[in-house]
Order: sequence, then structure tokens, then C-alpha cells
Amino acid sequence: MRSKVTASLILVIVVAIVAGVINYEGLIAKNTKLVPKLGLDLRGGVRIVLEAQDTESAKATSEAIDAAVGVIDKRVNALGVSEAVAVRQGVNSKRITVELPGWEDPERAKAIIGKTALLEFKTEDGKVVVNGSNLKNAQLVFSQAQDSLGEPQISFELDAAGTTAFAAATQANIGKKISIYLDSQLLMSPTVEVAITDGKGVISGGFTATEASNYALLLKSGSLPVKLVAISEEVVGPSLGSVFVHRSAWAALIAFLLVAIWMFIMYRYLGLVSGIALIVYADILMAAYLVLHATLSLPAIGGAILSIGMAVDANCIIFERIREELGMKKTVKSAIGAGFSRAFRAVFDSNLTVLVGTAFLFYFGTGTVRGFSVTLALGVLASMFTAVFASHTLVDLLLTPGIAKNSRKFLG
Amino acid sequence: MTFRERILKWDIIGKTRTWFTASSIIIAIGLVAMVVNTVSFGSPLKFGIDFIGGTVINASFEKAPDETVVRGILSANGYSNVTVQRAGEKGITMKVETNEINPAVSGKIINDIVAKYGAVDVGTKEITSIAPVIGRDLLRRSSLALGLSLLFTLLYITIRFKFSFGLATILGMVHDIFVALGILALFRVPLNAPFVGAFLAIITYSVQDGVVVMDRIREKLRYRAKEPFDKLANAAVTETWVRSFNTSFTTFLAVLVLFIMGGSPIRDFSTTLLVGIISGTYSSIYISTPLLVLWVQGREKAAALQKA
Repeated sequence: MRSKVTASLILVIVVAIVAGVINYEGLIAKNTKLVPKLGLDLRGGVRIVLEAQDTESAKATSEAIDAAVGVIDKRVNALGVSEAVAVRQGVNSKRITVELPGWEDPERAKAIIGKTALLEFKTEDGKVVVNGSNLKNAQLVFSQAQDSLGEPQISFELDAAGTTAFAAATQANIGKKISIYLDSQLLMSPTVEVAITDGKGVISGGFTATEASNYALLLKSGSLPVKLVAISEEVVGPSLGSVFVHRSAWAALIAFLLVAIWMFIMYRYLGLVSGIALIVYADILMAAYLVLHATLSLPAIGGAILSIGMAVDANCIIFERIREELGMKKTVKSAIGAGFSRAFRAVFDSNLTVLVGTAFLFYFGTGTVRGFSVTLALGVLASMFTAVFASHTLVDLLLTPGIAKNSRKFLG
Repeated sequence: MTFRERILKWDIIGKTRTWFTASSIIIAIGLVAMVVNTVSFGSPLKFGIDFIGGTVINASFEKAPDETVVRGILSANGYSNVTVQRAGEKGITMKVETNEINPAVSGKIINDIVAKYGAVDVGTKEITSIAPVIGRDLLRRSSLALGLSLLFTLLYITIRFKFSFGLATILGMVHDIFVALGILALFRVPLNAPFVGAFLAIITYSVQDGVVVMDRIREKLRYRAKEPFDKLANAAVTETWVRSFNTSFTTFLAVLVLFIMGGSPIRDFSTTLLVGIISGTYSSIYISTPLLVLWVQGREKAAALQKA
């Protein structure tokens, strides 16, 4: 018996310490792999929903939309937004959600995300000789030439296939014009003087520096295979976030104190045990959020504070049961044993019912609903561990001879 | 006699009519509010732009913008039916429902205001623009998710307990949803995406509370001698009354702190939760259990008649 209690106690302590280290790393040492992820509603940023539309030249097929997601992903990452995400709203959905946390310039975001950015080199008879998919690199440069000194331009470099095709085309068209189009808009049509065999060149089209830099970014990331139109946008200022997070932390602490005090009034020493279990619960839950990168949005934090109240639910069921067993004139030890084992079924069934519900919510829900079901499910699992296993271990420890003299006093 | 001993003597099941009447009145008030809303506003609940689509733009500028001028800018850009309100010292709020301001135009509108009133204060710009099709999609998917999780909760309780237990728990939950919806309808609280979360919490809470009472009835049924089912159920609810109160009270405390400290961004959300917690605790004791008693006694009577 005693060795079993010791083993359980060690397990609880190890779990609590591991969770504590994770929390320290994420919250205080700001380990980049573990920093808490705040939802757009708290952190501020831009969310844009794009819808793929059929055009004469390009149908919005499933493959095209998937490819578009990949292109957008490259573009937003090239913008330098950390944790930017582009996801399709469902396997058969025509919509793509793009989130740029911390971003404050929706106009630039829209300009970059929705542009098709199809670059084409055409000969005089309209044949496309090279297009954007042959690009290896593109960047903003400033002209060094005498007549256009300092003009923003895009320098490009073609891949092997592009280089070969471009060399052949320039060779065949010496003395003629090759026109460069971006999204069917003519940028320039220089006359070929010599064959270009190194696959390098410069495009000038009367750009501003910002335009040239945006286009270079777009060209490097590839063109969109389908027409995308922004149908929804959300721009959230960052002001709400930090204030709300700060206040929720205080709210959580006060909620914890009130719950702990109430449990102590109702159940005396057993209540104290549930208070300790609640600390371990908060510790594990926070660590789980950090490790699983759960997104903390406004309702998710609300749910987390709600779960502080719900976490002692199992403790109440068990402690009430212990009282009833004691009422039947059992010894303290057997009453506690019976209380835990008899109450377990009720705790198990009520929690599992909740887990079944959250599983469906997660599967069918979107965004907020998903985040909420994850935090709720984690809360249920963590409270099963702390309110049942950890509390049982702590109560057993109190019962160990030598620690408490009058064990009936525990129960208030 | 201590308070606990006194509770054990309560005849909760015997006063079934009282509880059902009280709940019926509360739900009826909510339903009337929904009917009135439907007649005067066209929909039983006030859905926010997350569900019906629309646009809200908030921003503060260097100089305080004039409402009439901003309205002019909006109609010049093709949006004439927009509510414009001053917000704070130099801020302005533009709101339009069901017909969202196209993301391609929102930037131009803000630039036009900037041209007159100076740059946007850093961090004050907020735009929420939801296409109606997306809002309807969210509403449809959320309802589907809620509906399916109810169905599978019923299935789970049926497997672990009995169909009658599951049905009683689900009906208690439906009671809670109607109470909450009724109050939201009465005060015309605009429903937005976070409410899906609040409803989930209410449902979860209601089920968890219900299952514990049902568990006690299940346990008592195993050792049942000849006692009538209503006496047995009454003993089960009175024995679990204190624990029901305690778990609800601790949760209530936590949400109350959230209500007071969370401030306006979460006030509607936390109010819904408070209503849900009270209703959820009440329904598992005073609605679900009496319903189960009615069902079981009805069956027992029918069985007795068949024998005779």
C-alpha cells in the first residue's frame, strides 16, 4: 500500500515538474517553440477569405485551388509574417482563409495575396516563349544605366528549361520585339539585339519601388493558377489583446482563489487537497496548450476560466461520496477507498460524454468552434488526472500513519 | 437537523408540477420575445454580422471625422445604407448589415477619410467584413455540429445507461438551450461566432450535471427492493443535491469573475454562460429527473395493465 502511494506520488510530482518546466520555457524564458499562440482576435492582424472563381482561361478545379494555397503560402511567408497561414476551408471548398497575425496593412496584404502574377514573354506573333513558372529568382534592383539611373526594376533569373527556351527564342527573333506581359498587361517590348543565353535579364515598366518589390515577391512565389476574389476581411487592432490577456490572467487567479476557498469551507482538508490538485491542473493545462500550439482566442480563454470551476466537479462528486460512506459508520480509510471507487463511474461517464461531444464539434466545426472544443477536451482530460488520480494520491498520503494523527478531522 | 439532513427530506419529485410550470413560464416568455422579434424585425434572434454577413469598420483619425462627410464618402463609393456613428474622441464606426463592403473597396474608403481627417491612429483600425454566404455557412456548420454532438451524446448515454435516461438528459439540455435563447431574444443580444462556444459550454455543462444524477439513479436501481420509482429518484436527487450545488457554485464563481473582469468584449459571452450554468444545474434536478420518473412510471403502469 505504502509503496503504491509513493509511486503514484512520484508520478504526479514528475508530471507537475515537466509541465512546470514547459511553462517556464514558454511563458518566462520565451522559448520560440513554446510561446503561447494567441488568436487573431487577441493578437491583432488580418484575416482574408478568398473565393476561387471560374474564368474563361482557368477553371476553379480542386487541384488548382490546392496549388493556389501553396502559392499563397509562399507569398505570405515571403512577406515576412511569422506564423502566417493559408488553408483551404474544406476538402471540397472553393474558399481559402489567409491569416496574418500581427499584420496591420490589409491593403498590401490584399494586393499581394489576390494577384494572379502571371508573367509571359511573347514574340511578335503572340506565341508565349517563356512564362513565370520558368523563373528561378526575381528581385528589386535599381537601374545603373545612364538614361534611367535609379529607376526601380525587377531583375530575373530563369531556370535551366527557361534559359534554353529563352536562348532559342532570342536567337530566332534577332531584330524583332519580344514583349513582356504581367497579368496580360504590357510592361515593355524591347527589340532583341543579341541572343540571351545566360537566362538573366531586367524588366522595367515604370514601377515604383514598392510595386517592383511586390512584383518580385509575387514572381518568385509563382503565379496563381486560378482567379481568387477576396470576399471577407477582418482587420483586428492589437489594442484589445494585451489588455485582455492581462486581465484574464488576473481573472483566472481570482477565480482559482475563490474556488479554493469555497472548497476549503465545504470540505476542510479534503478541500485543501482539491486546491492543490487545481494548481497541478492549471499547470498541466497550460503546458498542454503550449506543446500542442492550441490557439488562445477570446472564447477559448473564457472556456479555460470556466474549466477552473468545472475541474473541481470530480472532487465534489468524490468528496460527497466519502461523506456518505462515512455516514454509514465506515472507518475513514474504507470510506475514502469506497468514495473514490464508487464515484469513479459517475466521473468517468460524465467526462466521457463531454469528450464524445467535443470530438464531433471538432470534426464538423470551423475556426472558433474547433479551438473551443480542443481547449475543452484538454481540460476534461487534465481534470481526470488531477481531480481523480492526483487527489486520490494526496488523500492517501494524508492517511499515511505519522502524517496526520486524527484523520477524521480532514473531513470537516 | 443539519442543512444536509434537511435536504434529504425534500420532496422534489412530488412537486414536479411546480417545476414544470416555472420552466414553462420562463420558456414561454422567451418564445413570446422570439415571436415579437420575428414580427417586428424579421428574425427570432438578433444575429450579428458573423452569421448574416455585413461590415463594421472602426478607426480613429488625427482630426475628429464628421458623420455627414463620412456618409458622403461611403455613398460616393457605392454604399449608401450605412450606419455611421462617432466613437470616442476622434473615432468613427461604420456599420452595414447583410450587404458587406467589398474588401476591394474598404481600403479606398479609409484612404478617402484619411485625405480629409489625417492619418489613422496606430492600432485603432478594425475591419470586420463577412460575406453573407460565409456567415450562413458558419451558422449552418455550427448548428450541424451542435445537432450531431447532441445526437451522439444521446447515443452514448443510451449505451452506458438506457434510452430513457439519455432522452431525459437531452430534454433537460434542450430546456437549457431554450432558456438561454429566450433570454438572448428578450434582450436582443447580437449573436456572433463566440456564442457557438458559449452554447457548447452550456450543453457540456448540462450533460455533465445530468449524467451524475442519472448515475445515482442507475446505482439505486441495482439495489431496488419494492420501492416506487418516484421515491427512488427523489432519494437520488436529494443525495446528489449538495454536490450539484457545489460544482455549479464553483463554476458560477469562476464565470462571475470573468463577467466582472473580462469587460465588454466578453460580457455577452459570460452572461450567456451564467444563465446556462444556473439553468443547467436546475434542469438536471428539476426537469430531467421528473421527466424520467414520468416516463418510467408510465411504462410500469402500462406493464401492470398488460399483466392484469
